[in-house]
Amino acid sequence: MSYIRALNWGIFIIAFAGLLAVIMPGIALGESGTISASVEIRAELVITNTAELDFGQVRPGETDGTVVVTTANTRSATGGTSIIGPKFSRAEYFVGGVPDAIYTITPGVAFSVHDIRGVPIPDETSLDVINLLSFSTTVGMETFTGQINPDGVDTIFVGATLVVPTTAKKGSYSGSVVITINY
Amino acid sequence: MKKTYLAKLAIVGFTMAIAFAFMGTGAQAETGTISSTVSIATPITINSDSNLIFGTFTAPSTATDAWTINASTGALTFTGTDGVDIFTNDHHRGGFTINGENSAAITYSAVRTVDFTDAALSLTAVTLNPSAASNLNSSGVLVLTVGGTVAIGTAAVSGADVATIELTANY
Repeated sequence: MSYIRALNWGIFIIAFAGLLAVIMPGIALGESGTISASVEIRAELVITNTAELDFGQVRPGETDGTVVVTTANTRSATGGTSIIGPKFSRAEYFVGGVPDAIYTITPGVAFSVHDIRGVPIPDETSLDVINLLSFSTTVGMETFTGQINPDGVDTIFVGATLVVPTTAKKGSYSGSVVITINY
Repeated sequence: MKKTYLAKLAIVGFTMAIAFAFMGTGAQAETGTISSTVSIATPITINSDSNLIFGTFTAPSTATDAWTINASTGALTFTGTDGVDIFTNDHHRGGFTINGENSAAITYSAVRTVDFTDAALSLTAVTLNPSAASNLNSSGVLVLTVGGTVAIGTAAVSGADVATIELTANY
């Protein structure tokens, strides 16, 4: 009797194990997938001065005044100051960079131009240049923000105001200012 | 001998006949039953939803920069010197969707399998949100977002470069 009972259980157990053997290998437990990670490196902005800021010939008057050269390349005088002759120019810069990128323009707050004749100190005189303004061709307006066009370039024009006191001495004056651009 | 042998066979055969007879009818055997069940789990599948995009940068001039995208918020942060994010808004988290058995617990991990081609660039970290093991929802879905860190060296050359991230998930 016990032999028969054991035999029944043995046959059943064997059958069940066989069923497990059929099922287990078919179960999928894991999977994988991939994505990419991307980055792009681009060169820094390039700026080249292609025309200097030139106020032209100026005559001080009996009262203080100014001469203004605009980013649109026009010139005018205020106060007692007068302008002479046709020669003057706004500053011009060529900018190269990443197409469509926006960048900031920092033309400097003010600077001084000095008599270049080498007049000994203390007779040296200087004139102040103030109110520097910039114009981005791509942006199309007077602004301190420029944009590189789809061809990878932009042109900046810079204008400013020259302060001419009545005491300004005759001479040729020159100076420089740093124009900074950044992404 | 022959007769004895035959007799033994006869006895064995008779015994076996009895055994099989009892098995066949079960008239005198004990029986019991157990139930047997098996569940076939829904296979895990992974969809690659979106790539990880760090953006466009200038190479640093003095030391390596590191740009990191947060897997949870998607925010881009910077540690380093003078590298610049040129467009500021062209970065994006990556993403996967895991599908499987409703409400099942799963474990997963993501690794860089292929680094950038430029030796001055490296995908130095890959992060996931949720970051640890989780459960599929009641519909058998879990959405993961992917962040990471790219190191940019001073010698990085201009151009686009690509690395590969692999996600593996298991019950």
